[in-house]
Amino acid sequence: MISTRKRSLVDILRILVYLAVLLCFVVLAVTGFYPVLVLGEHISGYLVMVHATFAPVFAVCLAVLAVMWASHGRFTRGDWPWFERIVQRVTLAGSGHEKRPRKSSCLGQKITFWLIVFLALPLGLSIVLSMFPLFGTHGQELLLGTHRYTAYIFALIVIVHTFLLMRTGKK
Amino acid sequence: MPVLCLAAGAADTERKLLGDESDGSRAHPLHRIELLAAPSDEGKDPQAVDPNIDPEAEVLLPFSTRHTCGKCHSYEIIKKGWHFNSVDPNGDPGRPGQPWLYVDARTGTQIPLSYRRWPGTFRPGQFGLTDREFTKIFGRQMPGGGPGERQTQDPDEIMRQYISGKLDINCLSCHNGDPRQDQGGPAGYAVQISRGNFRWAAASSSGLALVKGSADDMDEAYDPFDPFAVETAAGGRKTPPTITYHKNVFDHENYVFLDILREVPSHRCYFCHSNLYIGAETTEKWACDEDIHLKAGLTCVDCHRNGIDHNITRGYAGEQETSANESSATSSCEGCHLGEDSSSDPVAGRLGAPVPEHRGLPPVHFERLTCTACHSGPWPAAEPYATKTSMAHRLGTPNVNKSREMLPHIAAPVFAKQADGKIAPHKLVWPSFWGVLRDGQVEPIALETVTKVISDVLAKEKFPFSGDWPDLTADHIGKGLTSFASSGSLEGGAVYVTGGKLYSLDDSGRLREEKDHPAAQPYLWPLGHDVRPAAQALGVRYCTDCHGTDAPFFFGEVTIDTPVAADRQAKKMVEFQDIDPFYAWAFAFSFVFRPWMKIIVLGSSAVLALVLLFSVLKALGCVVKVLAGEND
Repeated sequence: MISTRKRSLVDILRILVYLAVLLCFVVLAVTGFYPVLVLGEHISGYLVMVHATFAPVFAVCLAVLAVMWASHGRFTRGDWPWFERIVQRVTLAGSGHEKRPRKSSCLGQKITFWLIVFLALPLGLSIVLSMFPLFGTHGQELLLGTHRYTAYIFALIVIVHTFLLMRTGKK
Repeated sequence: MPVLCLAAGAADTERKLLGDESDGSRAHPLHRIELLAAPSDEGKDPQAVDPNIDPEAEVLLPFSTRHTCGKCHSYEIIKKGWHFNSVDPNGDPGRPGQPWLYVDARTGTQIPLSYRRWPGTFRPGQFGLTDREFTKIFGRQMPGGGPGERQTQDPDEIMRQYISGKLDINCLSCHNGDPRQDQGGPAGYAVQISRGNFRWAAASSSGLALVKGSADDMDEAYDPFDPFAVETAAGGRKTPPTITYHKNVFDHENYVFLDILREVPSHRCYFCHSNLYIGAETTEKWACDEDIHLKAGLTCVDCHRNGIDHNITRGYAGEQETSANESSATSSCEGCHLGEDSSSDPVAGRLGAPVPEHRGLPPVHFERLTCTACHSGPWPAAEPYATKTSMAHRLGTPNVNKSREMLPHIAAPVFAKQADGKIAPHKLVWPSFWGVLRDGQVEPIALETVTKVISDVLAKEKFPFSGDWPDLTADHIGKGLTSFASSGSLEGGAVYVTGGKLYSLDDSGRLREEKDHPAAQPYLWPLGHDVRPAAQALGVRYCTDCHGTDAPFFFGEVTIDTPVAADRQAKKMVEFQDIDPFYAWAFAFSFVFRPWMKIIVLGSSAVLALVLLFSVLKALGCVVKVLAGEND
């Protein structure tokens, strides 16, 4: 059922930023993974230039996304009822209020959202720190490895997050 | 104490002579030995040099290093070493190196020659040079052996070789610690070579004797071992080669003290291996810094080592794959500074070599560049430097033309891709020569023919005193090619290779040019020295040392050297690196925005970190409330 609710400017901006992040992610994933996983060599040539061009755009959009969606990603009681029960048993506290019907919690989305925000830090910092004369060759290889494997996990989580989002959207 | 030796006869390589292997003492053995001269007949034993001979009965001969040094050091093993084995068809040529450059401005010739199978060079025989002729021209900066020692097969040269003698390996060129060792003086090694005094060259340069006269001035009937012939020739207008040993050289037992050093002093190497990079302000050696390794206290032979086999390490990466020298792996840049990956023991930092950190340098550079790309040669300028080398420009020998424009024209550094795919700094020379095109291959026309034909064509042209090219035109080339064609002596079409082009005559006799013909490609050889200190490495300031839109590494202009004035254009350095020029420019341009990118990503990371921090703190607050029973 199509919502007829008029969207505010913020909502539109939120969606645009989200789409921009998604686009940047796809470009970065293709340019980053193709030479490494398919060709078996370092990223180089025009691919590295495209990768380096989209990377700061991705970083900015992700930061904006994090700010805009942080409140939506806040964990509530409805997300972890089993955790609430454990806490109550441990503290012998009663619920103090009538039981509320559980909302659709989107727990998976929230978890993947925060993982994305968390992994974005080593993903970005590992490569930008390598551009400063701070780390020698071994450190550079460590940073490059961090960037690579963080990217692998990041990509998987983004895919899961997108899948859950699409599934929630269908509902 | 005289050195006791086993019998001479170093041909038996299985039996080691006294001096073939050290007992481990690092002290220098004393060489108080008798000097031995080569006999007139190779079947006879060598003669001990006695300065007190009767001149009417015997000729005072120069000592032979082959027989003198060869008594204790296996000559047959040594002659297989790198400096002497160029003529060995089975010798591994290794990485391309500096060729011998024959130049003649009067014929528009600048051609790289080598006995080694380096692509882009021609064998001296292809150019019409016999071993003897080659030795006379280039033996000045050769340590003997090689082509100077080969028995000639040319019937016209058999007698000349008998008179001149063979050019033995001159051990003293490298190993003589006596400061009187004379390689480039008025009566030194180079001069003796040029006079055809091959038999006398080593003795003349040893500091023990003086040689006068010239073997080349003697007619073919002259016998240098016949006292009567020597005396007769001495009375003529041209002086035969004669040797006079200095006073007090021989002791009471006719032994001589030779100050022999196993570790060759660097200034001995410099006689053949000096470089001069000529900039706008830098024209003399005192204005250039030496290699940092030498200034740090090392000598050439600390890295370039060998045993009795004289299979010296050349010091480039990957040499161990073809070299039998056991120290070749550890004598490269990585070998000393980083050690071998395969070694289980810590081997980095040999000889005090600092272990480099390369802070901020992405590891991909080590796959794409050699160490020398950032650390060797002069700091790149907008154009490569005019470069002079000992081998090419006769540095250190008498009557050298010191002008900047003196041929051959060598440019350095030129950053080009090597066979292994890595970019390295090279020296570059553009060949110019007259040749014959046969089956797509160009063979040089023999020097004698070229001189005869082209000298007539260019007889009226002006040739600069500087030794530079004359200014030739297409008309000159056309006339030259027409002269060759009309001579009818060539099997194939005459061509002139110069400046990256191949000139030939079409069927109607008109001149045509073919750009980028394989035979016209420049010849490049990697340079390893002089190594700059770490603080002068490329990239030490910022990435834009190389990745700048006007950085010489990619965008330096390499002038095409040719006598044809109209063809003296320039090529960008990137064209020698097999890289798309637009990509190189675009990538360099992206570095303009790199600082912005760093700021943006760091700023975004800060925002993400703050969002995470606040959210975590907020979550902690909720948990604390829940645990405190303040249920909301």
